[in-house]
Amino acid sequence: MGVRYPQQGACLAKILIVDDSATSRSIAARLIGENHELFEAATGRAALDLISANGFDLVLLDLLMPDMSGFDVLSQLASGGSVIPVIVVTADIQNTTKARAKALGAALLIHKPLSREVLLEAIETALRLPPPAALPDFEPALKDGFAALMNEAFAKAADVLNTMMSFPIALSVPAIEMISARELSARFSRSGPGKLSAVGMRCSGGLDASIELIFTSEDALGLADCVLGIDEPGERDSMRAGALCEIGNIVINAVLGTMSNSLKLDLSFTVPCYLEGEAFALVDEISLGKGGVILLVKTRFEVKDLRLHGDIAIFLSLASFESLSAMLRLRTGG
Amino acid sequence: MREDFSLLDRMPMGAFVLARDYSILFWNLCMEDWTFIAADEALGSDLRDLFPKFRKASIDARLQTVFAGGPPVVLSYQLHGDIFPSRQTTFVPRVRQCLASYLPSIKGVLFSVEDRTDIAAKSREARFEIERRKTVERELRSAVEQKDMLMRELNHRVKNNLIMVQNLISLESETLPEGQAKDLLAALEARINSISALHDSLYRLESGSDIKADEYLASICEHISAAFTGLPDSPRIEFSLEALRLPSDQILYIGLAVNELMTNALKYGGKKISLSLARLPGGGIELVLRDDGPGFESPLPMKPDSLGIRLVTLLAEQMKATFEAEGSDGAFFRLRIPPMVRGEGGGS
Repeated sequence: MGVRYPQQGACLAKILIVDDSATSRSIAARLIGENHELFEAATGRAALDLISANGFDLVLLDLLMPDMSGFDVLSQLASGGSVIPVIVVTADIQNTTKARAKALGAALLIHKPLSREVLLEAIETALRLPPPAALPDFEPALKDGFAALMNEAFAKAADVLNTMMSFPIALSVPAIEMISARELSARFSRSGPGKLSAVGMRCSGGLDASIELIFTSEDALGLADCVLGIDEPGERDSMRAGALCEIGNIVINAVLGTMSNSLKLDLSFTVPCYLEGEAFALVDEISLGKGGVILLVKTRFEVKDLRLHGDIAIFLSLASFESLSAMLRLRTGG
Repeated sequence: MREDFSLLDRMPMGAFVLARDYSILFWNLCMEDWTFIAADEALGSDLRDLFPKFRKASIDARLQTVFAGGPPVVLSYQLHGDIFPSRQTTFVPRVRQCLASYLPSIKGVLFSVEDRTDIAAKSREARFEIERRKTVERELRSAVEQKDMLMRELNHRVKNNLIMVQNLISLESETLPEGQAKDLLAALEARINSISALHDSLYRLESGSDIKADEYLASICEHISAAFTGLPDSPRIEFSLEALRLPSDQILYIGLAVNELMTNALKYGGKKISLSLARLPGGGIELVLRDDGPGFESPLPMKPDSLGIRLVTLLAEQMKATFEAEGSDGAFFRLRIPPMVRGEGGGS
């Protein structure tokens, strides 16, 4: 929906104010005054319903709400690919709160108590922001070609793992999708602050990319325990990083090896690095805060009687994605 | 060859270089220290002869990908154990992580070996410490919950006992004819009610010990005025109570004072009584009760039988408050209570 800016600085944007406190909503409404068309929602759920039914130009979002936190609302909006700018309004001044809100796609964050100047300026700024760039097209034929490569890679990785372990490890056929960094943060943040474990390497030369094997902390712990056969909880933390780093290294090497062989790439690599942290911080660190796309290869590890999920996330700049597409096109003869 | 890699001798980690046939091209000082194998002995040897673990097909297959120019390979302590055990058998096993990466210039592989024993040990210690603290925290939490529960239970029982005393008094008073004795018992019952209402508030309280003064005073007044309803021309009470949270001992004194003043006003006052409670700028509290009744002669006559007023005076002293009474235009009572220092009062 376009935003109309009448001559005298007044504007007629449709703004949704989301806050569980009626007082906070009415304060915000009073500060905004008659400049805009205002709507209110008292819960996160009501906000999402209203947003899906109406076109809003802007959302003012409180974080601390009883039914559904503002972070959950941001996550849902991100997963749904919403492009409506959201201004987070909170009394929380922690830097991590700001970083998390940004990673989930908040346009701006301002602090309570609100002042008229700050609020109106934030609204003007948010309304003028260009909408986030849409993801490029991943042609079905190329996607299939890429999926075939990944299948080959995962078969190799399973081979290597099986020669090392005294028990079989199966890697299931991967499903592939393309998402944005914001969506990736949202997926892992959906149930509270998602803690992740990730092993990552970067390659450069023929293709610039960061490749990460990402697990939720529980799955990482489960995989490490299963592989190491540890029963003593005190041993876990010190042991799992090393084991996960090697497992991640094996899977990522298989992916990188297959890609460089099949696409005739001359690559150089960084050494593998093991990271643990909250989803938003991890995704931000890996993507270096830049845009670009993520090719997400969903994998399932079957070890003993456990089924664990791990995602291979390949972070690519738009230019790198274009060159990868070109190489895949050549290979598939498209 | 040694000159080419001499920088690696300055690093605080093990480092060596292999040719594709596993012959050792460089062996740094750290590797000498850790393995008790001198560089002279190592150079030119086959790594697999010195460390047979490298004959394993699973390790060889992965290293071959590095020799072919593939990405670096990690060999962790956790999955392979101590990869470079010392010849000196008295040495405790070390936690070492090994990384093999391709060196394009010589088509060989550089191994870097990091000793993580300290990190592993510290992490284990930290883990135990966290577990221990979590246990202590759980115990503390449960102790606090238990204490809160016991306090609430205690206040509940005290309240029930006080209500029983109130009931006994009121039963007793029913047998008495109208007169001074009956009035005295009614006053006594109202005083006890003020105290039991406080315990009721304490019982409902979830945490801390501060009471909502406005709710508490209103509930006392409601109880007292209930005794006077039904009388012809029962007066109207207007409240202007600030929502203050006050410590339980302070609110008990204020409640007892309100009980006396309100009873007095209902008995002798006119058609309108007003009660106000407000925070003073300096942090103290002001309580004002006025009515439009006949008033009294100022200064207030301190008759020995007027227990109510004597009680308020005593309560005011206890709270170090000033107590003013003015009776020329209806009755006017004002208590100005200084801010209370925590831990003070409640002793008597």
